[in-house]
Amino acid sequence: MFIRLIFSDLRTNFIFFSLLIFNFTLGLAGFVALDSFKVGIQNAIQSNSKNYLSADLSVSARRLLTASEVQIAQQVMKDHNSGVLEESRAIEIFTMVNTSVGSRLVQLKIVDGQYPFYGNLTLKMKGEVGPGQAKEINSGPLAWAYADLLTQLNLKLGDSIKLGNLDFTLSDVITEDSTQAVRLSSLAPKIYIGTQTLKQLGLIEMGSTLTETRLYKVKPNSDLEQIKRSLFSQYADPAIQVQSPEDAQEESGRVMGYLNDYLGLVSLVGFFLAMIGSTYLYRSFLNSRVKAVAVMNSLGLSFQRALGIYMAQLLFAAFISAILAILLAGLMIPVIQMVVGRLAAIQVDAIFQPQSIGLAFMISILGVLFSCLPYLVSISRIPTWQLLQESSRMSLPLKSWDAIYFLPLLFLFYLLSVFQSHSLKVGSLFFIGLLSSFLVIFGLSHLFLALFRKMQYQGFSVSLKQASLLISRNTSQSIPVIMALAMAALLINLIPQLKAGLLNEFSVNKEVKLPGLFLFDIQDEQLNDLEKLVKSEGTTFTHVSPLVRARILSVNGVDFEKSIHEDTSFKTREEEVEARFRNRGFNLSYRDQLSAAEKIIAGSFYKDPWVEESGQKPELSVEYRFASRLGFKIGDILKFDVQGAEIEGQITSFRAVKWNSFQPNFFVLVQSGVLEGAPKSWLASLPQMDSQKTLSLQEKISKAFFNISSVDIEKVTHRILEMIHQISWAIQFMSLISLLAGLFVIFSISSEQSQIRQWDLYLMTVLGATPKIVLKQSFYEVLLLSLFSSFIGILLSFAMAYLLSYYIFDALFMPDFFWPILSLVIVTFFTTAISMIASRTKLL
Amino acid sequence: MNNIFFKFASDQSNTFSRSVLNFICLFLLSFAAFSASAKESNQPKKLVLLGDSLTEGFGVSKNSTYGALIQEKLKKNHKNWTVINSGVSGSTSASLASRMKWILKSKPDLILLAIGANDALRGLKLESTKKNILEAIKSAQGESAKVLLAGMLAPPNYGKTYTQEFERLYRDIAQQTKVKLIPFLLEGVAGQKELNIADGIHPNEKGHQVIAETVYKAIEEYL
Repeated sequence: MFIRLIFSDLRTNFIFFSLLIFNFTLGLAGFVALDSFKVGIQNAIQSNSKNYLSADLSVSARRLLTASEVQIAQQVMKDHNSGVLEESRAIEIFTMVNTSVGSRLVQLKIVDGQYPFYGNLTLKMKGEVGPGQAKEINSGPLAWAYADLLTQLNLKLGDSIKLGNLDFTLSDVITEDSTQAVRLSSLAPKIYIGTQTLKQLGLIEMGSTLTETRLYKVKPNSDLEQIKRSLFSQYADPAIQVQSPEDAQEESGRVMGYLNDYLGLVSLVGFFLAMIGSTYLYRSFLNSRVKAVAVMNSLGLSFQRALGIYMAQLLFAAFISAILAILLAGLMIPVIQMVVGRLAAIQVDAIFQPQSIGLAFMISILGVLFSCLPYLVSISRIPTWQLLQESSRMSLPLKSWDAIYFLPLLFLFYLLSVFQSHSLKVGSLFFIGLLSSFLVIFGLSHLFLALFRKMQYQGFSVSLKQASLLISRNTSQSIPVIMALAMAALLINLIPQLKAGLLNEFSVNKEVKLPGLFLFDIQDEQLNDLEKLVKSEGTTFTHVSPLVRARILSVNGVDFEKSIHEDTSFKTREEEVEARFRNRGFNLSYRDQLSAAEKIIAGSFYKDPWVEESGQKPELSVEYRFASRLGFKIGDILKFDVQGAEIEGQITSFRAVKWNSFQPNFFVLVQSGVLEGAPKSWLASLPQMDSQKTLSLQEKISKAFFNISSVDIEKVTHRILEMIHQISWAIQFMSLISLLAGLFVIFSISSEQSQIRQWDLYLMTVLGATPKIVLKQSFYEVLLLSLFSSFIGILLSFAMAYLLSYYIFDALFMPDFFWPILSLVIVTFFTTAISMIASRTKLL
Repeated sequence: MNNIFFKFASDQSNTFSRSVLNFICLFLLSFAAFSASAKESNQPKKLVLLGDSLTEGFGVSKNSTYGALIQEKLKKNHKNWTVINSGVSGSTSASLASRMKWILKSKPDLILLAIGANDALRGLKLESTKKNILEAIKSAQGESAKVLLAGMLAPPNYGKTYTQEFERLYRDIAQQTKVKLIPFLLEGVAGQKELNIADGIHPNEKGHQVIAETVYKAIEEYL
């Protein structure tokens, strides 16, 4: 009987339910597509990071790992990988290679046959060596060397080189190494050999400086951070490093962190857009069924039973919508991939995640139950006499205390925010920001409607006046529309606002000349001769900085360094790491002006050199992340020990250094006029040149100045810039996709809104208004509502983007006015056009 | 006669006056010399530790460096010496020329030359390392500063040839310049997990205590 009632009502209201399902489906499809692209992009970018690490996780130390340390790692990996252990071993050392021509420093990488799990080495003769293919060098005393080593030592394939006690045959040349981490510390060319030669090599003994790494592969979609935490909890020795792919990238790891948080936010935007759309539709559906429930109740059916019918219908519609949304997203994704495929900087394979599908169902079904709770409570209060009233639909008699029934829904939203963003911080901030915005919109919409009620309409057209009055008097209909549209406009505009700040952070100032070669350990007396040599080779320094070594002794008179005494030790691994950081000494530098890659973000940069007679302390400019890590503030007085001499300075500015300009970054710049006489060395950079010229210049410098080391960073800069290009593309793409998802939701809200308005239109026609007047009034009504809603939503999106940027993206906020104006036009046009098309169809 | 007496007396009187004057002058001079020498003996002697990150104390606080520990020990043993830590992380022997010039301005009495570890880690040519250290010692000796040389060892992973040549380098320099040699600054510390920080290269607080003992024994004869 109950089920029959449900389906007979569904059949009777087939068109109504079809529209409801259509609207549900659109909102959810946007979310599923957005979530799938998010995972696709995360996978694509993470696979690059995995190449650098050559594994999912690594455990390493700058010594040989003990048997028990390896056992711990193996056990944890087995526990998280269904008992399967996929492990590879690599040892890195610096050593001297000896050939008939001479000897020189090389970085020796000793790997087993499993290496690498991810990434490739490209060999001149054998082509690509992919996962688990480093078997050749494990079959005998064979070596693969970087191409520059062959040039430096005049070697050719098949030649013999001596490493330790063994002679190796140079069996191939490495032309590309995607497993090379993005680091700037590659002092020497690399040679790969196999671990089976380790014992005879005779280079690993007591006192050897080396890094042993155990690489691990785990099953796809494993929670790497959780495995990392499990490992860390079992290693007390701070010498043990556990790295995930993101950690392997040093500075670019921060960018990856930004991207992950950004994608988390995109996903939340998609989720909340779908939730707002769905909640609006549920509420609208229940409103439309209030009268029917009251009728059934008056005919003897209990409220619970009557409500049960409509709840079951709603759940059925939500379930069908979720299925259709997944199918629709499945159709949308290949189309979007095809459209953007040619422009894509990365190969993005949008993948349906069980999580996205599960969430789509959860939004539909749990959303129905939780968002309907306040209405279910209020519905039993409907007096039967209201049945006699003529109206399109009856409004639910909500009371202010019914708001507490929204708490379960808010709690669900909060939990899902944290779950979906994979971050307590991001999820919580987003939720708080959104809830605050919701309350502000609620307050402003009441204010707006009150103003409309009290406004004098002299000089306004009758249609505009009528439209304003209709909106302002019919608050039960207007406020939900304003709330839904304003929240949608806020969410649509939020991601582009965050995007602007991030893209600005990734862009490189055109004035900045990217360096190709770093030269360090230049002595005072070598600088002029080195400059002459560089000029004679047709190039010049792009940057020269003095480096003065110093310790920070105190900050505002309080000891800065962390000491431990004989009878104590560090309590935690973190405490020891922090103490070692503080105690390690720092490089100071000085110069009169900022470089093109720097900007002052707080305080002011000193203008003139320091004069002792001024009685003032020398001014200091501190890099802001360094300052933030150590809790420095503007005005703090730092005392330094500069190789025996104590000097004091006062922090007068914080600097940000554009890290992707690859310019040397000094934590502390001291006002000129203070350190010039102190013992120092120099750091210089040279511009990017063709590889042959770079190699020849490196050789000339090392012959003329034995101590000066040069590091070729051109390949590294290209790889990082390529990665940034991919990330920037991903950010822009997801911003666009979130806009599209938002439009779907706006479409479903507008479409539902035009259904509701039908009754008003008919009523006005019955009262004698011409279709033209009715349409004009309807136009003003929708225009006013959508203009106000999108304007409020956009304004709040600035505030929320600022809040999120401040707490999540290191205050990288940059207001962008193009997207807000565009979204104002789009939302207003979209809603007005949909309503007008629907109204015209009904009236004409 | 009167004149003679007078003359004698006068002579005597003159002699006496001169003697008194001479005595006063002598007393004053002696007093001045005594005060100068007393003042000089109050002036602490200077020990400069010229080195790299091992001397700078990379990763440990200034108070835990072997330089600070030696200073403490000198004070405890009532030796009037000041220890100046001139360690610079990452520095190679190439920096010695300018740094030696700088520290010689402060007229040190004893210089501990503890450099070369970075030359080894960067595989620099040993001839240049030798030349740099030799020149630095000679310029210190030219200014009458005593020099104590702390030897370094290259890690075994640099191969037998390089490590043997590197070890010999310090012996050769010590012989050539007749300076005292501490065979290995990190004796008992290198390679000991519990005496080094996580990077396995730099000594921790306990490691610095061992180095301080090694260096103190070597400088005792100069105190």
